[in-house]
Amino acid sequence: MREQMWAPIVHQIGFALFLSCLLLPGTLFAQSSNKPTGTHKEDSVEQLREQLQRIEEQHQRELADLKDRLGLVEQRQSSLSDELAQNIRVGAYGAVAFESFSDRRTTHDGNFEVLISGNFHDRVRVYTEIDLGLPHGTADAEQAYVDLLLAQPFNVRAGVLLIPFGKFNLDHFDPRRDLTRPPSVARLVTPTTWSDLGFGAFGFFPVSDNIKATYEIQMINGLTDKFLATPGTIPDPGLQSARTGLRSDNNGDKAIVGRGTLKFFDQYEIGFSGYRGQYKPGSNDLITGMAFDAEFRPRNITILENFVLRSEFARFDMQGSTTPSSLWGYYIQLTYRFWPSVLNSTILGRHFNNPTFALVGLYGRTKMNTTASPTGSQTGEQFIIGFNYRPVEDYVFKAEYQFNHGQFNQFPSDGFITSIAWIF
Amino acid sequence: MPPGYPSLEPYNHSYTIQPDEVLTLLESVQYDAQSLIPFSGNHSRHVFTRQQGELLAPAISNAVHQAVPQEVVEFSLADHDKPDRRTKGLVFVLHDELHLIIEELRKPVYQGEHNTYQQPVPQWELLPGDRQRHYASRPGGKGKIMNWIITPLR
Repeated sequence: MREQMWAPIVHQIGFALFLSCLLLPGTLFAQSSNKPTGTHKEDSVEQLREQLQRIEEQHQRELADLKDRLGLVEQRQSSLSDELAQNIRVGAYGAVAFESFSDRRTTHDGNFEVLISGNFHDRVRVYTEIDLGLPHGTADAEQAYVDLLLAQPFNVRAGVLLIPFGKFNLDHFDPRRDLTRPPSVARLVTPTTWSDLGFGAFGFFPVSDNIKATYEIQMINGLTDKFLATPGTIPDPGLQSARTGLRSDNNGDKAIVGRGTLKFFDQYEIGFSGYRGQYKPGSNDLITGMAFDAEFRPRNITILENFVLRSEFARFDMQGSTTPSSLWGYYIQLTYRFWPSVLNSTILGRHFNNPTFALVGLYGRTKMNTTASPTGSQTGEQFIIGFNYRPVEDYVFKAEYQFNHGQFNQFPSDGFITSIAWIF
Repeated sequence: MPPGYPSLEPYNHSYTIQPDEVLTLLESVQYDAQSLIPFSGNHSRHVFTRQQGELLAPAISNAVHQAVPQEVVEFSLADHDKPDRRTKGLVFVLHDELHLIIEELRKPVYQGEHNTYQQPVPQWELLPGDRQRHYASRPGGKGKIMNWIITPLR
């Protein structure tokens, strides 16, 4: 490419030399009529040759100099472009789903979220995720925080924070998930997507070459008593309605929440989370919560490297409440990724570098202890089988069938869901 | 090899490759980076400056010569203008082909943490030149790893 760039320059130099010969004939072809001797002619030709050689050498020097300068400019341009790309990024993700459950009409559902991130200083970065409010019509910031990066083990975060309770809430982007709907425990127990206003600290400790530890701890307004308001007519079951909705604190007491992780060989991750905070105005009653999550993603182990295992357990207890007094649940999900090479030349594989299929299975259970139920509790059980096709990592087609049992579930009946999700 | 990469051992080490050959190869490696605004077009750029190439080529040549079949060569280079930005990679020779993996490209050395799940990372991919190709983890050329370039040496 660089050679192509220089070719016109060399041509121009040649053309300039040719023009100079035409316009200044006295220096190249002129002959003095009254000095017709052969020796003078040879001298003149020799001088001209030397002159031409000098000109050529000078041009070569200038050309080399220009090449160096161009290289420098190119390098600076690369650095600036890279820096700019690292300093600010605009993106989005979205999903649209079709749902068909036996107890209700079929419907389309979806969401679209804008992502803006950047560094306005090497040590200060911002991150914003705005849910544009489809289909409910109210745009909300799911995350809008600023980080002050001080040292690997200690950094400060402030703003609208994604709550570090369980892994699913932190890693909830639709295109990154293998199933369309969150598992029940991540919806009814941990109220995903759970954000709140507050301050926090986070850090990273390399324990050894193959073990890394991270932590994130936050002080937030915390969960409210809204889940108690009208037992039996709660719009969202579980703790969904107890989120603050980014409003000011209802009781003046700040909640503390945090999560610590250990990562082994960059393949296995386990996390522990805890939550503690008062939830009622004028009372010291607490909501306490704990969660455990694990993700195993073996690499370079034949067959096993195609599997991903994810699991999460979460529990919340409410002091001074009987409706409910506690909630807990768990899920375990196994994903198997594969790609039959016979499909390489078909329309599913021909145009893509790394297309994949995935088979997904999920089992989950949820339980709410509440005196509102004649038996003292409500339970839910779900089993999902699903299929994914990803022509590229950032675009996914998902299809799944859910078997749902029990009263404490996202969906009371069995049903089919299919969706397309993307991120850029 | 660090975790996360397929193990292709044993490598053809020790291997003799002239610094000039390595320099030519390093100078030819280009990448394509996403720009600020999505879909606004990409621009290919050289991974290494001439100065970096001249610094790295003899070192790689020497390291590949000294390595044993179970070792790969790891390098880390600071940017000339911005010394806090680092380019980091791996090199090894297998079946008379030189494998170059760029793990970090002009990345600020400081990271406040291990990446959080949702912090977007700048995306880029190496562009294979003449006779070069990406490493493919699946049959039929699928499963390309875009930061891994293979160059035949013979």
